[in-house]
Amino acid sequence: MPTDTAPLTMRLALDSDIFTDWRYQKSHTMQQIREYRTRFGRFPHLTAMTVFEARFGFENKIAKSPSVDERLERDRQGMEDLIRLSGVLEIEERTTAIAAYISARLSQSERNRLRADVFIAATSLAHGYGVATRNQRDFELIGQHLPPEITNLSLAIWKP
Amino acid sequence: MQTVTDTLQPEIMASVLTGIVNSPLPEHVGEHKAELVFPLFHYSLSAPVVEMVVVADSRQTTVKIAVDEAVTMVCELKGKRLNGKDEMEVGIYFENAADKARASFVASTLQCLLWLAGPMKLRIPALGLDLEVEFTAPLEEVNQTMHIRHLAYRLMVIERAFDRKLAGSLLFFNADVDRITFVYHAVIDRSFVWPFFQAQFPFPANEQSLDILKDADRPSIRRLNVAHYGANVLGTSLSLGRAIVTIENGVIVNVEEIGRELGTLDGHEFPALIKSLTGRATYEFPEAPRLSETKWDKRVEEFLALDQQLDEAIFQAANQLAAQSLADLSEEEKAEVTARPQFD
Repeated sequence: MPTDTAPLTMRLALDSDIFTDWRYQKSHTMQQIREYRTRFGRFPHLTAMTVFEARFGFENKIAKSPSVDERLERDRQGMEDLIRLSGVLEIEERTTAIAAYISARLSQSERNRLRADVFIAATSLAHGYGVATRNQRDFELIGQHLPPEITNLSLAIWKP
Repeated sequence: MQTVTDTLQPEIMASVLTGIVNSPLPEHVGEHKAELVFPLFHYSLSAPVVEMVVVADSRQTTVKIAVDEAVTMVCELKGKRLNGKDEMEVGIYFENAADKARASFVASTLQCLLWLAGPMKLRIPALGLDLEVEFTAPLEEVNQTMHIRHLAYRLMVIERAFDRKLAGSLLFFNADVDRITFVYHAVIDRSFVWPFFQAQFPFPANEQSLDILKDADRPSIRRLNVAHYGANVLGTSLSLGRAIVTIENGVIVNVEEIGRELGTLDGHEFPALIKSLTGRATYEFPEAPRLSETKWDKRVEEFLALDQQLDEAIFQAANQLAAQSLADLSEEEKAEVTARPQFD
């Protein structure tokens, strides 16, 4: 069983799609995060890759802007505060070993498409976390290629 | 007997929004009460002032309030002259004199109240002190304190169920958090699913073990009766009694060794290393100590009743950050900054 449903006792890291849903104030995501926080006494973590993707969005826009945009800076600050609040699961040596194992077993096109998701899954696995995501299909594919010492990837599918 | 006093958290500072302070303050506290009023949470508490030190030269007054049997709240009122005007700052920190779980729960609850419940009033009527103050802190610090409160309450539950004080440090590491959470679930939920990779269990070499361990390398549900399950929380060993551990998709790791050991059927004990291919097991603790149905004392009950308001306040604060991260952008810009990077 390469993937399964994360039990309620399992800590979760947010996939980028869920982090984005939260920023878009999607009500089902807000409710899941509210319930998680009450259960664990803290907010779900973000993986370093999720943080990279979120920061890239702002940096990419800022890099193309001819002048300082105060609106962007203000919104970026909001996101940075949220990142600090949530806490970040770092990419450590074990993460790279898991990610390399999975990546090498994906096809070239899958590898390109799932590059970030592989690191999100690998980071979560290395830290003993499940992944909260909307993207069940891609994480199930990743779950089919886990290293032998890892039993399975636990997913919490947070969809409306 | 010597009393050991710890400072629980660093001092937190507030600016005074409005205030009246009799000057000079009396030097003897007598039997005065302090009132802490949190209007937005419709909550107030009253507690005795146990000490007051006035240092006229440095324009500082320190008032100690016994907010709980385990915690003293130390308020430092500091006068200063700024831009030709007299202003006042309030600093608060907490001291405890034992009972770390309770002290941590009480102090962290108060700290979270100060941060999350908006402007509050600090009154000591007999001293003519009536201040409206507002405390602020970085949200991650508030979040961390809320987490400490969450864990401290769980420790209190464990202490009460086992009738033991856990004297360890309250600087929690992930492993401590996991153990506290595990034992808390054993006491409160009795049966729960928990991550399980592999573990060693003792088996006697007999027909019953042969039945449990048959088809060693074929994944199956392995239901194990553990005569005695122990857990270590903050350096204290706790007995959870008999446990039933149901390992999903369990396979035996040391197959050959088990084959040899079981072959004797002479009742001797040997270890079986069992792994779950699903990475989890269901634990049942029918004999674990239970939490007494007697209510907590008034202060703890009051603080527990604030759970929902505190949870909602921190959630709303974080949610505001999430909303702010896109608040000033057009729909097109939002799509742009939330698009995933393309490298090809």
